[in-house]
Amino acid sequence: MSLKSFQLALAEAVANPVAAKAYYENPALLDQHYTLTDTERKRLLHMIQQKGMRINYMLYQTNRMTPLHLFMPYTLKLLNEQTVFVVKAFWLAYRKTAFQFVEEIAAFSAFVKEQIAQGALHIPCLEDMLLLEDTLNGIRFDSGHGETTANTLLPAGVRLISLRHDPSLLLAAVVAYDKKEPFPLIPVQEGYHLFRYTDKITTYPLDKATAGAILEGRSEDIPAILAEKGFLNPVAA
Amino acid sequence: MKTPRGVGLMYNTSLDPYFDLYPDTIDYVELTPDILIQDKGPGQPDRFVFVQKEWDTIRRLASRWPFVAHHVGFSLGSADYFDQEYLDNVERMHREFGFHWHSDHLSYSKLIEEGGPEFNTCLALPVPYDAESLEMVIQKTKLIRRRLDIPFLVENNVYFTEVPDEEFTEAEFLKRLCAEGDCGFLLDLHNVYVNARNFRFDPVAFVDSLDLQTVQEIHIAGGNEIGGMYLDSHAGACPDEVWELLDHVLPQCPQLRGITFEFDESYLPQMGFEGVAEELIIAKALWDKHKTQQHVA
Repeated sequence: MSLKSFQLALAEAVANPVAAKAYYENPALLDQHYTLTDTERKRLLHMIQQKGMRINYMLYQTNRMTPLHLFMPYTLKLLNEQTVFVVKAFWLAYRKTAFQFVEEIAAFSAFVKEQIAQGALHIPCLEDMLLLEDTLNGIRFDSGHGETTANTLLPAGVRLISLRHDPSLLLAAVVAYDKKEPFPLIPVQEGYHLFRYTDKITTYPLDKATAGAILEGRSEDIPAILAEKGFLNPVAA
Repeated sequence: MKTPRGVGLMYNTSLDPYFDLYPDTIDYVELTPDILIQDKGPGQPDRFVFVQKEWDTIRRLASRWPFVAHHVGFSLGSADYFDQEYLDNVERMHREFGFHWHSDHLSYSKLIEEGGPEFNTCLALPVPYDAESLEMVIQKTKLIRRRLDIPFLVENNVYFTEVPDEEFTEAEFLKRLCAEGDCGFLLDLHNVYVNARNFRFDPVAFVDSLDLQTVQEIHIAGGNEIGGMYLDSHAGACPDEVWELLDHVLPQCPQLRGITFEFDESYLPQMGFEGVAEELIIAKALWDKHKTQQHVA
């Protein structure tokens, strides 16, 4: 039990430099959370004050940033100067990660959405960007369409989404976005879109009636051009 | 396929074109299956998800070269925890790919708190070289060895903080582990170099203190310096000191099966496929220089 407690304490110290500093300054705090032998307590305190602990912090943070950099790059770009603050808050809220990339990015996306809902983040287009990257990652990791009638109509790499901004304008803007300047103003234009990801992203705007037909599985009410452009399964058209 | 002897390359997805460009530089391919698997976590139905396209590439390569497996998920050093489902999955992959040996690291990365799910430390943390840790790791390596019924090797760890007042030296711990844990030794020479450079000890004296008779595989790699410490970042070509260590230990490793070059795919643009080939050619020249009948038998 004691070795396990030592390992848990070291893992916490590496993940949370603030906690590590607190333990170093007040070792009695360690005993409130962990059951350590004298040797283990001394070891931990000795390790915390070593120069290499900074490398451990850096490796932990670099490793945890990796899935976000790889799979949510545009969300991070929009977060801009708030990235460090938001990411560190996420790590505090979600300390015990299984560190599986799919789960990690889903949890981060949910966390940022919660921050937006609570009014803690006010960044133009951020909600739509999260939805776009969620959609892209859903296709990338083949997590399915969810339980909708659209399942049978849409090919594996296509999703039906509803956004407040035109996704093609939004994606073009974020790609070109120089973080030193404010993010360009993109007009609000609520609507449905088909989103396709194969080796590149393509979107197609839909009117409400067509979106409704797709959601309800009424293939007879869907324009043939969507199948011709590869946004719909041919059999369904 | 015949058990490989010689020089191997650690697979990463950036290397896919390499295998057709420089096929003669490789005697075997080493794979970390974890990088191509999505793990939904212990107890989940269909827990391990294999991305079809990537595993098709592995299957094609496995029809051309012998494969060995280098895992990162056994977390051998975790106290009071062994991931049985992970071993079951390794055994399933072993049946399909016929890995010639398996290995993992002498460290821990998975933990469980009372009543909670498994969580990850997000970096490999060191195991104290004490009798308690030794006994715990021995039980795990013996179990793995029994299930897989082929060599299982344990790699020496890289660390950035020293654990004070340990009961054994690293060399003593590794020697006992190999002797009592029914496992072989994967000697990562770059890890030795990293630790020696950061903690200012003589790497040659260190490797001389090891039981090199138990070494079955050697890892070589490059790194870089950040924040005043040298990192095991697999950042390209091996430093001269690693080649010197390899030249020094090879004549003392009679059980050696292979020398594997590792590099991180993010460094491919700097290194290029030619750079990868150059490292393998140097390793091959050293292997040829020191190999004996015992090595190739």
